[in-house]
Amino acid sequence: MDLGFLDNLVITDRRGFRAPLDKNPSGGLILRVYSNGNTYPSKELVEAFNLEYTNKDAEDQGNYFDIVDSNDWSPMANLPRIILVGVVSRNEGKGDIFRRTHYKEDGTPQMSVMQQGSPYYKLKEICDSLGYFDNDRHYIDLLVSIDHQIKASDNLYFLPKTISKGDKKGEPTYVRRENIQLFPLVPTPEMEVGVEKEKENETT
Amino acid sequence: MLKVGVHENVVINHNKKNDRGSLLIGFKKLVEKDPLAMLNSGDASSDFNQDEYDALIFSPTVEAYGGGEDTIENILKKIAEVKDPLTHILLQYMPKSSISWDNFAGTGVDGDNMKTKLKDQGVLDQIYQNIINRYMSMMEPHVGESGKLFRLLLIRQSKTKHYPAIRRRWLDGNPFMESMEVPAEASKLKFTDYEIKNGLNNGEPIEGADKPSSEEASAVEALLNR
Repeated sequence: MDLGFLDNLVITDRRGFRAPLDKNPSGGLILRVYSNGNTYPSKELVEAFNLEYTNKDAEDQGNYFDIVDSNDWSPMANLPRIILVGVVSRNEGKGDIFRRTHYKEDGTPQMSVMQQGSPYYKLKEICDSLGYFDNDRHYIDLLVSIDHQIKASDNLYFLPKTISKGDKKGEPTYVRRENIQLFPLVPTPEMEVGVEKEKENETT
Repeated sequence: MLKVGVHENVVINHNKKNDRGSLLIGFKKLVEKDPLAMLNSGDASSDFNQDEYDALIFSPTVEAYGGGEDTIENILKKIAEVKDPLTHILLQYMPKSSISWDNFAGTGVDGDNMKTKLKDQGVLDQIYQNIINRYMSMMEPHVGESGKLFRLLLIRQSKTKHYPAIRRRWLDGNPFMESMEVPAEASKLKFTDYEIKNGLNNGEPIEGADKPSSEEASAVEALLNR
């Protein structure tokens, strides 16, 4: 029997990137995005940016996130492509992720933002196009890089959006934000190591 | 002079008062023009000022549009039609938290006497001066050719007056200014259905048109003679 096919075979344990033990990431300001778009925050992220859902009638509804593909945002369109996340009050409209929940009769949220895991297709599409998912990688952990906050000198940001309803659905538009925090969203070091190992394996 | 339509790469070149104390907002389109080429061209009209427009902001009046005394509701709308476009302009340069108004300072107007006080033209004139003075003060650091670049939408002044004007109402969903940072394909500067239906998207003069007021004519003449 010719066993030549075993000459270049490398066995790589990739189970960790297929199905993590916990849906939520931990150990930092992290978003875990699954290849079906379901997205879970870490506890640290929820606390740092006040993402938890509040009572229906609460004056302060907490925050949610804008998601921006830097290729679509003119101030950064000529720079290397990254995902940006903007922290926005839920009292403002048109956020992209962790937007809303259903409420019980007493006005309390039916579910915590930690468990909700709603699919966010815009984030999924960007992750897809950046090559974050493949047959062996079914999720990606993305770190909110607070050391690299992006600031506009006039505190005004015109973030690209897409019209979601009506006869102009799918057409580009924008939302004006002011006094927000805008950060890069990048794969965690552990995710990058996994990518590097995979590239090494492909070349051996 | 800038005409009815959408213009790109516009700055606010000046904010000043005319000899009647009315606010003139000077919009200027930054274009590269060769004046010698223009004078050598076959065009019959060498308009060196075609890239500028002074928006004249009138004071609200007690008089109703058809004559007689206007209602309090309409007078409040007229005050809003001064303040709202100026707020819209300011929001292109700064967050809402940086904008503050004190429009009734020195007028004695309060919630109890509003319905009588606002029917005094002298009070309205004071409110108007308060608004434009505060606007000019907040805008002072941002005026000039080195300022931020904008896209600007000018509508027709009225069915019968073909001069351009800035929109004064329903600005939240229908802006007349936006940053050039926004790509053209995502621009929100569009004529509304009402404006299209009423010909306010057309800058051509029509026969039998109303003559401009002396103040409007002076503003246009000053622009053309600059």
